[in-house]
Amino acid sequence: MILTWSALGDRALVLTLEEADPAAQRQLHWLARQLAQSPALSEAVPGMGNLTLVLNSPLADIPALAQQALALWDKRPEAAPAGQLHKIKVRYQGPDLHQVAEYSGLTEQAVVERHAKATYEVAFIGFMPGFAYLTGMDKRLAMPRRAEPRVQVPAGAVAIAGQQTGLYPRQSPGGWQIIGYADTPLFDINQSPPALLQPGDQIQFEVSRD
Amino acid sequence: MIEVLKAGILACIQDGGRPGYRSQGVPASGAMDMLALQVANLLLKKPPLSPALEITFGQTQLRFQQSGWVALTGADLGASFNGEPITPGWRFKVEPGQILHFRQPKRGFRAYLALAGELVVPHVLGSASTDLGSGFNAPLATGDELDWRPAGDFAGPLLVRTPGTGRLRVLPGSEYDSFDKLAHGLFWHSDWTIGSLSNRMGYRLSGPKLNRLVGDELPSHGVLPGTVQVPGNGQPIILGMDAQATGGYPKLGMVIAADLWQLGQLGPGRHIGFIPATAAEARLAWQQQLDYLAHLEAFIAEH
Repeated sequence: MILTWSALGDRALVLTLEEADPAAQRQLHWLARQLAQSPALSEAVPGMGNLTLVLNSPLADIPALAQQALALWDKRPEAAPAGQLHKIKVRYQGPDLHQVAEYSGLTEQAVVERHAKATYEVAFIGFMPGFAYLTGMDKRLAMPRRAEPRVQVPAGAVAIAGQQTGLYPRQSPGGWQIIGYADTPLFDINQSPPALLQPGDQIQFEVSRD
Repeated sequence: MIEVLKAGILACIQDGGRPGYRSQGVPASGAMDMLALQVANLLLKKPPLSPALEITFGQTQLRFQQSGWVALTGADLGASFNGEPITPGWRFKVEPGQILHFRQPKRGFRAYLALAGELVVPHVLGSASTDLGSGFNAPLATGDELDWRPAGDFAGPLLVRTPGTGRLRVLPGSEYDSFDKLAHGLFWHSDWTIGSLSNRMGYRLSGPKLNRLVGDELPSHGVLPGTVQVPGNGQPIILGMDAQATGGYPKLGMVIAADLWQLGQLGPGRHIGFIPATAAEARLAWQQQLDYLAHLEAFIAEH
């Protein structure tokens, strides 16, 4: 799996996978964990098939850091392990469940079953504190974003946008299709790390009737 | 205590920010004009990235209930202290009952008020910075009281002038080559206008349309304050200190670290231009900024 690099101004560099797949994404997370110890770096930020390394100082030697990262990449485990498994209870009572069922041609019951059956993996975190982008959703459930985004999506909302599914850690505006709600706190400033779901973690949703 | 008689457009607490949490989806935040923040704190012999008030555009009115030393840097927001006009760059002593009143910008966009002693403010993930998008801390509201515990005495008022040009040096971004030659020329040679929807998260620029050679969408990737990204409408957005951790628009350029502070002094309606930089120039400029701050600190230590 080929990894290339480019400088991002004088403050970061980006490592990009030529072809992204879930196995390689896990290896990127492995690399991010190795590099987190580097005194030259302030952080390693996983994206979708890429990893951005933010430098502590614009005076850092970017090509040397890139070479160090690529040398580590050459030593990556063939099958990097997944992170922690989280089981999250979901009340599948979202306002858009009906539309998702209609769009997919499935019954609401079937949408819920398929959504709760898959094991998801956190590809990266972005958009807002603790918001995990999950891969692994049943393709049948893919659905475009709402034409008109909601002004307020409540914390805990479980939603679908395109091929992706995710949970809102806090109330925010959003255009994803809401199919359910979870009560699990997803972001807590008093925890270390503050986000419950970390890059590479696995998630299973359990149907809650409460 | 400091009484907020009038909060104004957007006054909030900012410090060096909370870098290190992007992989948790947390923006770095911090002062939009990090240089002015550092100078304000240095004037009071405080660690340069200590929390201070960031006052945007003006309309803010503060009443001091104790005596103590403060420093004002950054924009000239038409401030008056106790009825007397005051230009930025000063440290001075305040007495109980005196009022610092910001009207509107004469030059620049954001002023910084540092306070000698301790400003007791809530910290989230190691920083007192207000991050509206993440809901970390709130901007100042009329009627607020800031818990200020003054300490230290100084030889007298001191003035330090800070620089500023409005032209930002930029390094090519990861997707620079995916834009056509015409777009490159237009980017460097146009006089861009900062749009009214600009805020601490991003500055939307308007000007000629920048076209990409390839139209394909990018997978999400890390972005930073100073990243110049170009969405499908061809109008660049420069990300500010509250930039979200990841984004998907192509990165045309990156403002060099040494010039990023200048963005904080440009507001909606102002023009902005870009100068191509090299990696060597960016390093030199950063070293010069470090030297400037070190010399300033040494100078202030003797005054």
